[in-house]
Amino acid sequence: MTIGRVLITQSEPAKPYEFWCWLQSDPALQVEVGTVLVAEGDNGEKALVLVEDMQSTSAASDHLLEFYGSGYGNPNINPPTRPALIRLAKLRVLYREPSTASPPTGRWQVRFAQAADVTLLAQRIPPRYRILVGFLPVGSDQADPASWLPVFAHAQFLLGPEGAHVNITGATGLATKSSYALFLSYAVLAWSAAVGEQTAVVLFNVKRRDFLSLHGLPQNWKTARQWIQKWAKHIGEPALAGRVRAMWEQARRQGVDPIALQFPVQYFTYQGDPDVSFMQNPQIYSYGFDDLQRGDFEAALFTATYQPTDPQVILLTAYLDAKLGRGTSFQTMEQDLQKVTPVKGTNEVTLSGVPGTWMAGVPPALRRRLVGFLSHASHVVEKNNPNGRPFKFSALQANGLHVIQLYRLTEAEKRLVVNAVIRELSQGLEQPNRQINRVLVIADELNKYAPSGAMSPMKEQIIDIVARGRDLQLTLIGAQQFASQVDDQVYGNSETKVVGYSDISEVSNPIYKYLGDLRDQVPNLKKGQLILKHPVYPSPLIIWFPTPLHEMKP
Amino acid sequence: MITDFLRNYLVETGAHPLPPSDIPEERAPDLPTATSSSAAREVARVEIDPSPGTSPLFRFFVDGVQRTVPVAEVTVNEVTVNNVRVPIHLSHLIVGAMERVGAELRPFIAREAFVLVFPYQALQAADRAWSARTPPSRELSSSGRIYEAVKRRDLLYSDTSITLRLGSDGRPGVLLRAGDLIRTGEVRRKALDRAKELLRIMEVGLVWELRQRCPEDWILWDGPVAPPLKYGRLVDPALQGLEEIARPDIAFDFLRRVVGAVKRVQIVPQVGLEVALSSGPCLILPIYRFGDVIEEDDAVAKEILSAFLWLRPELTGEISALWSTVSGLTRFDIPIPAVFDDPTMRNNWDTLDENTIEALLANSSSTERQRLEKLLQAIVIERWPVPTTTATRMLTELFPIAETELWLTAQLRSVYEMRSVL
Repeated sequence: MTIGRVLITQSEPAKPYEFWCWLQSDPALQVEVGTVLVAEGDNGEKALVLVEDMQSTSAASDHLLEFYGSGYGNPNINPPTRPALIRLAKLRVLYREPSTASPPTGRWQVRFAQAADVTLLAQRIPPRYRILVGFLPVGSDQADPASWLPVFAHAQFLLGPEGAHVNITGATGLATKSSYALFLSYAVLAWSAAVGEQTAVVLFNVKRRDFLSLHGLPQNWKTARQWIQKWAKHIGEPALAGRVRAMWEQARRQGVDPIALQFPVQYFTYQGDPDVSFMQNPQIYSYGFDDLQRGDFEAALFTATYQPTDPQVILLTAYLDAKLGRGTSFQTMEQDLQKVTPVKGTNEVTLSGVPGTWMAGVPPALRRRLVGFLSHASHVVEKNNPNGRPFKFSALQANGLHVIQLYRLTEAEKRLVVNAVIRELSQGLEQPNRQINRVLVIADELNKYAPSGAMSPMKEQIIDIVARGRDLQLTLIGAQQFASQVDDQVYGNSETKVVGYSDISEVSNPIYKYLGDLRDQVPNLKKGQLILKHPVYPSPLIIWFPTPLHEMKP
Repeated sequence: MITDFLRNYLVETGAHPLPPSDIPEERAPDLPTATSSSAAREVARVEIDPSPGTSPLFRFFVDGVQRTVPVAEVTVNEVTVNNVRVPIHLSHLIVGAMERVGAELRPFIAREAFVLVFPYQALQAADRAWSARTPPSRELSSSGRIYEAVKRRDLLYSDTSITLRLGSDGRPGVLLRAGDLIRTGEVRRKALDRAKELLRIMEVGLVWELRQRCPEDWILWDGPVAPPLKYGRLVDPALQGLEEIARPDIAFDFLRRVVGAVKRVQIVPQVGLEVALSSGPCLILPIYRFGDVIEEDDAVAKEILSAFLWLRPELTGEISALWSTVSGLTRFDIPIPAVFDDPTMRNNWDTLDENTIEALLANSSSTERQRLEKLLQAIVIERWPVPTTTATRMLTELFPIAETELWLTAQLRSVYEMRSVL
């Protein structure tokens, strides 16, 4: 059914990738920002378009006429004729047939998209590379799975080698970033299982219990549907049940079925974690001196606000060269840095077993950093033993989820663990005969590890991983509240960007320019609604995703 | 100082300053209003509450728009005239009716015509070669059936060298001869006049079509009612006799549910208009009966009662360029059958004398008076909303009429499209 026509006017000229249409005057017409429509020409031209912005206007030129027209400012007047209200929609082209970079050549008819239209989007992606990333609403009945058309990402652009990495931005507390990262994880694992890849997902749990209880999925879909019903009622939005149920049903049809696929879940946490009871068979991790490498030490000891001096870096390097792998502990290191031997006639000192001489002030300065770190790292550091129980690449299970608990650790501890884990993963992926050939790392609060501005050892490693990740097959799904606080290289190298509800002051930052007019919609996004920018699509899409099943457990 | 002198003089006369405006009198938008007066008899005076609270009466709103463009020229080289370039015009004419459903307007009918307008017979007289150049389309001429041709969407042309209406000798008059073709201005003026005539004919046809389909529904028609009536025969044979009310029965059927809304009032009564322009809690509408008077863009007739209304006095002073009170004056042409709607009078309503009309309309209990009041109330409730058009029209045009015009105008081909015909 035709619901409008493309507008071509002097004030609204049509462009190749964006143009306006008017919509028929029918209050029941359910068109909103994010709706997918189709514009069709008389000669078989077709454009799949996204409603990016909408306006209601009338022939009244300004407020004066509105005021005068209502009985000279009488709000109780009911004129016999209501001025026509004209609804306009700004359309962003998602797909064009035939492919061309020219604007519409006429007042094309506009209608709602149907399943067959939206599948055009997927045509850009060969079936082997399709990874489900969300849904587009195309029907009026949200409880009908057919109303949710799948949106796919191209695996080679999402995971590499054509592009890589995903960045998710959104306000904290709405369970959007973590929930979507998990949905994406399920989708990648389902794809991986289907195409015979050996993929592992590593999730850093940085706050609350976002990724705990992942093992607590319903036994079957009948139970799942009951959970969904109760959950929707519990949160006071019973109407949500139909939508979530329909999206999960559609996800299953696309092969993303976390219940059937039974992805194994492993938890890795630190000693003394009060949330340990929420995990199933958690493994305790810790790091001794000999479990770490130079980059890990630098990430733990130095930050962007505490930049080391060159002599400190040289001393640390020399010390690690001399002591790593030789049964040294952090306690030994602390003692070594204290027990210096002055070089006669100079202001220099030597350290036992470490070649070279050092200005007298350098070892105490490095020791102070070490002592400061150790005093804040008791949960994850084996101070007296050379080795702890570090997270190992060999622990990864194919097509499994691996949750590494960071919640309640100090910033120094988080830096140490994140750095050590990512280093371990990247080294593991470079080994021959590995059991896993692709790793997805999900890290919230990315701004803490790769903040914009000054460099830090931790940030250098993240930048390195982001740059090499597409070749390593190491994909970073980074999330943060404010993308403006994340390093430009890290953000820019994430080919796929996802934005959830955020404050207008954040999205007014120029880094969100790629959203176009959809930027104005960011503060209005609902729970479960995101804007996705993926290289395969010429324009960002407003997509939906379902609430994770484990979150709805009664 | 001259300025001081003038100021002092005006102050002494008691003059008040006008609202600030940068429009010189030569370009004043309300200048054509109330430019002509004619003897008329006030047959009634009705006070209406500015917000009558009655239900809408009018279902249809009728208007017509046209665009005429010179699309080509031909050069005539013959004995009588030599090297004369004659323009050929193309007119795009659209008439339409919007229907009010609830409080919304919806398109109901639209009829359009593309008409090639040029002095065909004069060209034939000037150049023998033109005798063989018969236009490949149907002629809109004095032979009539014009609305039928429009409805059939035939290719059409109209010859501006002869009149559409028949003269007393039963033949069309001559408007342009071969020798007149040198006066290009006159040729162009005749083309514009012809387009206007054809548009009126189409409007009459459309109103007639509405009458056939919905005989009891009220129509508000943009413009004076009298001028188009003379084209009845040209519209359709069934309307022969509408002109000059030669057949009162036909005119009765045509007019009994029609009111004309005149937004640019040129003809006003010689006395008594100040009543309509007086301030007060109620709107006062004096109703006049004129004789037959024709001005450039206005006309009144003895079969039509003229109700004058200061449509939106509330807006007076809001538009500084329109400082004159008469700039807000509107006239509503109410055919006598619209008030004296009695089937027994179908064949002789045109013979009602003024005394009878006045007496019946003065009697508050008479059906005619009550019908008139109801009609005027229905007009008054159309004062709101205000249309978005020119400043003058904000004061004098009704919203549904403006919307109808907007709808039709939007369908007109652009000048560029029309010129591209050649």
